[in-house]
Amino acid sequence: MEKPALFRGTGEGITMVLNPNAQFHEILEFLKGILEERKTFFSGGAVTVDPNGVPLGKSEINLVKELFQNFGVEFKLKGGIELHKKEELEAVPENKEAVVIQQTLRSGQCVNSQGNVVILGDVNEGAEINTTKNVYIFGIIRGIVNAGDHIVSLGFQPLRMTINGIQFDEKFVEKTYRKPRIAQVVNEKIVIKILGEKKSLRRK
Amino acid sequence: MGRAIVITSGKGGVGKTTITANLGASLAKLKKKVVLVDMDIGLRNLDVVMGLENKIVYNIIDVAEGRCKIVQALIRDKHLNNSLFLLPASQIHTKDDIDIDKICEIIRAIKGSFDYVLVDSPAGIEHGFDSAITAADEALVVVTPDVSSIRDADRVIGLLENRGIDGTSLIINRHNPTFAKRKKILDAESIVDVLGIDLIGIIPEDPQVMEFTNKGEILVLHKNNPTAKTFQNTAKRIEGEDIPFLDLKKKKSFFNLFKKK
Repeated sequence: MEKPALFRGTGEGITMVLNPNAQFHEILEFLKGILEERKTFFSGGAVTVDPNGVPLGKSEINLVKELFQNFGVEFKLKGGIELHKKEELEAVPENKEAVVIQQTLRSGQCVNSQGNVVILGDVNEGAEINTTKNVYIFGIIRGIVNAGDHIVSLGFQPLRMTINGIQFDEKFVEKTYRKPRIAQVVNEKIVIKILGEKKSLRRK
Repeated sequence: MGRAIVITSGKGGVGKTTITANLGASLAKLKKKVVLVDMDIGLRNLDVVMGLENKIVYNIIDVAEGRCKIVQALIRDKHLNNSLFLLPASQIHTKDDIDIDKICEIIRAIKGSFDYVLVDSPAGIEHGFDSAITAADEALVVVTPDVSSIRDADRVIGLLENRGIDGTSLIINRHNPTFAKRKKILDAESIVDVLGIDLIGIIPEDPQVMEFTNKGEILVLHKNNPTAKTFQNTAKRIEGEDIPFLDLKKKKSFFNLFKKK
């Protein structure tokens, strides 16, 4: 299997060339692994990232930037800042309560809203939802979701997920659910529970 | 302050009374003080299952109507005579004779002096059911692996939600894992998937259950077979112990006899 990214030494220093066939989360995991493995080698240095056809939106760039910063590596993007533009969908709340997107949100698509957002499908990797209210997804989250209070979904495999600024930091889990689960902030951590979970008889 | 748990199902004949008796006995064996209350007014059965029908002097309607005190109506179990008690139902009245407020007072009073009050609910969702769930804090819903039972249980769970019941768990009775595997009956996972409440016990189909009922003896007080173990495990889970569900599929083979369970 091809590596998600290749290292190249050039006159300008080290360049990381991304594999256009790789998923972004694979690339991120791979980069994390390399940086951990060769901490001392990279730390204090600078790495140029060549997207090489991989669509990188603002959020993805920030994720890579943050990752590098954590390891003390300076981040540069090849070819200036020519960001892949995210296609913004019409997101005017019809009834001031929720905007409903009747399809899977595809890579490159973005929903910015002031109200609740309902997606009748998945949120694919490379898609993004931003709202101060809540998000309800009839599918799986693989992309980026930033909400205000809670997120309901059938699967949580987000590239990045935040609620009211607090980030979801669980490892990638391949689980999907038949019934919806809700992600909420409990004691400053994002916790995923069964929606409408009832108390049992088991003594606590 | 004890826990008042109603054992209900909607559907009749799924095993509420048998489970009330065996669960109550299992809790008593865990050193708890338990009262079993028969709320099937007019069709009492808990006394028969416990073999105490000859010992009944007063019943719950007598207490409700002021003819006696609670303690006078309580009957000690034949074997666990310091920890397991029965408050029998009346056989001559009907459910229309039940004063719900009085029943509520009685259950609350018993709760004050015992660790567990298990209320055996009648089938149905009418006045009898209402009176059984009054004063209960928690509910055990009993199903058998068939669609009728599950539909009724679903209805009951919905009703329980609206009546201030704080905790609900499920017991699957008369389970047959071989049949379930062959898709002849529903398996535990499918049942839990539909009903969406915590599963706290799986009791297997066992002809010995009826045998013991007919003898007026509680199974868990006489046997330590797999069925008895499932009742005991359920009691332990109610008490907070985390016990994984037994693999009931293990066939009795020559080698298994020497395996330590």
